[in-house]
Amino acid sequence: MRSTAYLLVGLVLILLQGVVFRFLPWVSGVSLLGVELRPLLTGITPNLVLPMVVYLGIHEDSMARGALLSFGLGWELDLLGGGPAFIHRFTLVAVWWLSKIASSRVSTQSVVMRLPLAFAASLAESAIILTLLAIFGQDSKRPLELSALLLPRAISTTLLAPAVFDLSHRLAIFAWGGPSRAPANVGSGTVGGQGR
Amino acid sequence: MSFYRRYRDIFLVILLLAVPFFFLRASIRNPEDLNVIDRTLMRVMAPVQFLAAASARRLSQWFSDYVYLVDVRRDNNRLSREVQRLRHDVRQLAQVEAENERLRGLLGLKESLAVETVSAAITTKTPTEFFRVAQLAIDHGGARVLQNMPVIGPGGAVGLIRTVSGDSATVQLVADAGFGVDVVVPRTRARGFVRGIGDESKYTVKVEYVRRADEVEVGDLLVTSGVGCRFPEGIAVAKVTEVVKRDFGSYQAVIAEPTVDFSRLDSVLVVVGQVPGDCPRLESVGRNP
Repeated sequence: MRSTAYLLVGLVLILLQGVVFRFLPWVSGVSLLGVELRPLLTGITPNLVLPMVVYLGIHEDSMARGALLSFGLGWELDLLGGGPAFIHRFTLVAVWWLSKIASSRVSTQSVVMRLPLAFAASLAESAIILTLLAIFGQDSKRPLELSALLLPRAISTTLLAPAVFDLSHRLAIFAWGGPSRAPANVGSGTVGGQGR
Repeated sequence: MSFYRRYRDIFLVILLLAVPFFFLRASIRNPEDLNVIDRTLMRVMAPVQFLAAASARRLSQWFSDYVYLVDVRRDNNRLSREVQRLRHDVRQLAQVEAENERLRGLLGLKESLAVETVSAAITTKTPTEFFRVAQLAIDHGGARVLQNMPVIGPGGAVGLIRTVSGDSATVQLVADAGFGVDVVVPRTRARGFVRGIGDESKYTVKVEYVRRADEVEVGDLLVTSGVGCRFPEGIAVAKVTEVVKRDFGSYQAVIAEPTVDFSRLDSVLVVVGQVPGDCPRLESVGRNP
């Protein structure tokens, strides 16, 4: 039930991030404090599934489930998000693992503390993808060209991460059958499994 | 956590990393080569993706229309203000250009006159219905403007200073019934005396004492002769509009129209210096005959 919910919500998030670009033209026409946003918005399409994977890395105490969910989300991303097959399956599992390792070593008590983790995870994900493309790809210049999108993508992903964290938290509560059965400290950011 | 479960999880994670990595090389080199499961899943997901894209397109279109509409209204207001400002600027520029033209004319006139003058701006025209006078604000520059001093405009003689009060003065116009000046027709040297009629409906003067034998035609220009020591010689006064040659009498009747368009007059020159020739100073000159 919980896994299905995560996969379904992940699917919706992937569909959502696939249509974000449609809303950029009218956002990019806006200037903020006299600064045109258009040049700043190049490559800002966020990875909405990534914060969910980070959330799973922090809060999912079952390694098998966390890894399989990340794999499943990566699969969805491979199917719907474009790009070579298997690349997101690999990177999201890797990011999940890194998040799990990081969450056991650094504090992830609050959303503010988790944001740098989301930022780092996004950078790591992009770095892994670019490295894989550099190793296996036929065009060696492509990863260099795509590296310009690394930071904007990480920033946009980090900006939207709190919403995805909150969504994932609500999902966890829903999947547990209600807030009372959900991990009591999920919302506050501690590892869910440790509280039980 | 049991020993078996821990290693099972680690093994699973390694497997989930290794399997994609194993197929990654082939999929990166040939992205279009999908396995059966992927192809099936993509076929299943295609309608969902299409629906999401269509919904997003419609929503985005709606947002775009709204945002562009807001922009259009804002741009419209801004451009309307811009147009108003530019129209105002154009009007001001036209005024400045006209003033420039007028002042150029006045400057040319001033330089052509061999007599000292001061410039004055017209502040009011025809303040009363009985007397054709114009109120002047005089830029005297220390010059002393006195009664009966000649006033000249770009088109010719305007009139005479009637009253002076501080920096303002009234001018008796050429068309006023009390005005008179000795004139000559440059073409034939025929002489006459221009006198205002005082017709309220139009600016018209009559030319008296034009001898019947003198040749005067409609369109002839009448300029000051210098006689009377009031106006300098050669200032245009009027243009002949009607000539009535009588069979009897010594003079012919000539009607003329002042060369100065009083309705368009904005600036004038007041002759304050001594008129060249054997003339007494203006202070001692009385009214015209």
